[in-house]
Amino acid sequence: MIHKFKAAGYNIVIDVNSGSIHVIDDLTYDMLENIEPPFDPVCPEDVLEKLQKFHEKEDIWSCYDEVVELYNAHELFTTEEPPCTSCAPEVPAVRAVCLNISHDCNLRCRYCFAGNGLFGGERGLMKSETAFKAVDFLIEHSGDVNDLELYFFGGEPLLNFSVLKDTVEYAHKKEAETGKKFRFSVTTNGTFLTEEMTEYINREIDSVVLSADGRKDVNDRLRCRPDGSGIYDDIMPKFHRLVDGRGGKNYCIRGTFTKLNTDFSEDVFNLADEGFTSVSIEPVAPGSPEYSLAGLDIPMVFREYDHLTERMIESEKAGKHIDFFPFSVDIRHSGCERSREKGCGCGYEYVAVTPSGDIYPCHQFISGGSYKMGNVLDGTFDTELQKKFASTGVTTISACHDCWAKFYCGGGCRASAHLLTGAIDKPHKLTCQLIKKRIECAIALITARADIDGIL
Amino acid sequence: MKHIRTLSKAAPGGSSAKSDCGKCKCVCMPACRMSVTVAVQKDKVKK
Repeated sequence: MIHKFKAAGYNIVIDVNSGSIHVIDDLTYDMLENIEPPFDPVCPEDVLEKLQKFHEKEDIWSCYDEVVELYNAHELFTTEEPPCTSCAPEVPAVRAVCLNISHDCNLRCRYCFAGNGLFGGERGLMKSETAFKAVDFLIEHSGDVNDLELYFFGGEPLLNFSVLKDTVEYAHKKEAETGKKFRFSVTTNGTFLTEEMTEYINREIDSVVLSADGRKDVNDRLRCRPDGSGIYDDIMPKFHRLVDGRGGKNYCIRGTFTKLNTDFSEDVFNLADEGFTSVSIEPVAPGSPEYSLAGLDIPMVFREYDHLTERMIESEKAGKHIDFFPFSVDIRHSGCERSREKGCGCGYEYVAVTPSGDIYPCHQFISGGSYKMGNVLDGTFDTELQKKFASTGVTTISACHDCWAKFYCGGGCRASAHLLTGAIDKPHKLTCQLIKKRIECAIALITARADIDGIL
Repeated sequence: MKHIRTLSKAAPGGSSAKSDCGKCKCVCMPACRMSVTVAVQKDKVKK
């Protein structure tokens, strides 16, 4: 299977099964419309006749030879799917836990997927004992995986900073006992970031996700306090202090765009102009008609992704590099094949734990209450459900079978599928459209970077 | 005249990498609800 597309002035073809990506001229683009294996030794007369209306005969012959050469090298029209063997253990190992240490928030962001931090339940903070049990749970279910991750999440996790610190200390103690190694991440709205917290986070927490939507008016319209006041002027100096304090590394400013700011490239560049060059602006979670994207918004969003790609290329040419997380696609498939086929690991190698100790496949499953997998306090964990998530992937999701993007998205977000279609193995079409568009833009951007670097 | 330029081939060891290889320390889990990536691209593009 191949997929060809035009983006940012490039013609690109992806060989889906081998993962090879080629930049092609107009002639090749036209030729690929007209040929497919098995190939004759020379270009068929009917193809020659058709293409001769626009191209020289000698060029058509040489182009045909190049296509056949790549086919014979298994880099184009590859039919063999990559093997699925090494990363499918019978009992999957858990390697990351999202610790919802706070089901409470001081903000009232209007699009919040977590119901202003409550996740559809009661306001509450996780106790240290529960967090420790979650660490024990992770170690117990990690098998022979040594590199483990803890994500401090909420709500606003810094409302429960003392438990965050206790948990880091406890995990380090367990490292010494078990030989496991923990990495920590925290996602925060930034409003509570004191100098002391900042210093601690930069010393102890490996990566930070800082929530902000971009331009001040865009941010403050939807990210606000209970009295409706915006927070942009409050958080920006704190974010600068934190990011500067960690040498500008291992952070991401994470924003949301809604149907109210489909010109979100402005927000990406606003943050870049502020000095934040590691940025992720994502579509708002579905479920709020006032803000969520609908089918009619898609053409506009597609144009904006194209626009953002072109702006990023221009920025690159000017020597200013921006890491836009949604465009950070691993084109060499250097991650393990499990990730390629099964995506983020939700429900089998990644789970979320609530303040009451309940375990869910990920933080986005908590609000609905579906798919509860167990509880770290009573020691229950539904391994059959874990296996169900582990066995769900592009080979079992029927919508993925003929999709060119399957090895980039791993079947997409299970929570989004569950919310929008009622099943974890039925991806939502609109979401798929967006993902595919972003992959195309990402590959075009990588192509442009290679071009700029002179290695294309 | 070259009609096709190869941007990238799949990494030879990529598909057999072990689950604990450390290459997919994905920051997307808590950060993004629509991640398209399995790993942040750090390697230089391979011709």
